[in-house]
Amino acid sequence: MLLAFLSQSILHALVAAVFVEALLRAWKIEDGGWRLRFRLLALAVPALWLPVLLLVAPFRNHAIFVARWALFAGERWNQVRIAGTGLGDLALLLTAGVGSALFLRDALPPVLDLLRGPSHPPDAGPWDATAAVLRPIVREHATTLGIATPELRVVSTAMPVLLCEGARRPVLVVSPAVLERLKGDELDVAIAHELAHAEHRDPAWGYLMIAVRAILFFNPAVQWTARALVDDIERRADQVAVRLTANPGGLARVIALLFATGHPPPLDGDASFERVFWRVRKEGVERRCERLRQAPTLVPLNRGPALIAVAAFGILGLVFFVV
Amino acid sequence: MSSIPKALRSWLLLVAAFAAVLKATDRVPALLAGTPHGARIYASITEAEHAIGARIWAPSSYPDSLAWPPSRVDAWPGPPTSVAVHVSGRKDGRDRLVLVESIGAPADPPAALLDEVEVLMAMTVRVGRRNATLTRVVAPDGQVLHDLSWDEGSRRLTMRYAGPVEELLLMAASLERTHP
Repeated sequence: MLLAFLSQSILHALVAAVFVEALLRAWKIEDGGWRLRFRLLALAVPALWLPVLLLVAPFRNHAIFVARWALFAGERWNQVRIAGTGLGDLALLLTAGVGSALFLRDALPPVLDLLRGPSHPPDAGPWDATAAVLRPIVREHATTLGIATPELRVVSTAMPVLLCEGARRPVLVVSPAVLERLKGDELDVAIAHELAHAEHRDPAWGYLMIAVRAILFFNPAVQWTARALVDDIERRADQVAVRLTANPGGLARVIALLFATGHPPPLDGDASFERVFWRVRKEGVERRCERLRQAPTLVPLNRGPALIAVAAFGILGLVFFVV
Repeated sequence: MSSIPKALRSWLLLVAAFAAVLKATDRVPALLAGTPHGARIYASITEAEHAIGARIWAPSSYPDSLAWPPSRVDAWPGPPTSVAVHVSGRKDGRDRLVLVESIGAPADPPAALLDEVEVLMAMTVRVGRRNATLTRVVAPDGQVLHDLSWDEGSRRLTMRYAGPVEELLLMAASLERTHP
């Protein structure tokens, strides 16, 4: 039963993730908000739909269903034996290992930081002028977005820090170095981006993603979908910031600058997978900046709820026959 | 996104493509292992009996040319559930005997468990107290085989043997003696 759950969880998540990615491309959906909803649909398949299926349709695991109706049955791969072990079980073990490694790679560093001591740099003193400079910009954009002006917290560090945190009450965390590194228009669009996160309560979504990833830690497709979802959260915030400031080029410069400062290239002694991860992230940032520089006109998605329903029907129907 | 009909068309294409890819990938293990698609494969009679929850009947005596235990046991969910016990030759390791039995109701062997063959001739013979049909058949690879089929209570037993018909009848009689 446990093996069936693990195997179907990975297979369903994989089918859902690839199907959603194919739909996003086929339907040319660029709106970050709608992309996010499609990704959530893909994530709901292993997290919610599979437990429901196992409860209400246990006959799917019956031999007759597997033999006659299943589009794909993981257990059939155990007919191929390698050193006395079924290929299906070996593949399950391998993919679960990859999923766990992807999860631990993201989860371990913050946990270790937490264990080592306070994770945040200390707050800047009351004489620091950063908050006074930023507060009018924050207030202006918050008013335009129709949200309460979030609290500003200035931290004392040489690194440029600008982020939105707080699941219940969003707070903008900023360091004085941001003022030194960013020009006026860049600061404006960067603040707008962070306020977009505050508007949509994105830090809370971040915590939800961590919880889902932790529960399904063994599932590489879930880990991948969660990362794609975070990318779409950023895409939505980018689009809001561009709508508010009409400065996509400035935002691209800020993103590139903050990445270069916060993510130096791995040293020669670092493990090769660290270099791979860094390159993947760098390429992601480059794609994001390129998208902003091209600044395509954002086409609103017509009949979004209907398309989500159609997509859900397709995914749920497909995975019903994957056992 | 231009229109709903266009969106539905691409959705339909994607669903069909995914279903086709999944179905095709699902065929690969059977091709690699040389086993029937859809059947569950077990390494031993005991393992198969445990999985299907019923005893599998087998002859109690075999010619020396056959290796024991069976090389594999295939199960088809049915209904009715059918199993195929494969016994290899001692010398070449190739399948020499396949015993297919339907469990719960007499039924012909499913195509997944026993290859289709061309019938050359058929006659009625006695196996213990039962009438059985002995058929001379040609397999797709040109090999001439003998099928022996009879009903025993709620089971239909079919034995396909690549060897002398006398040996086939002796094996069938030993099975009939064990499970009268």
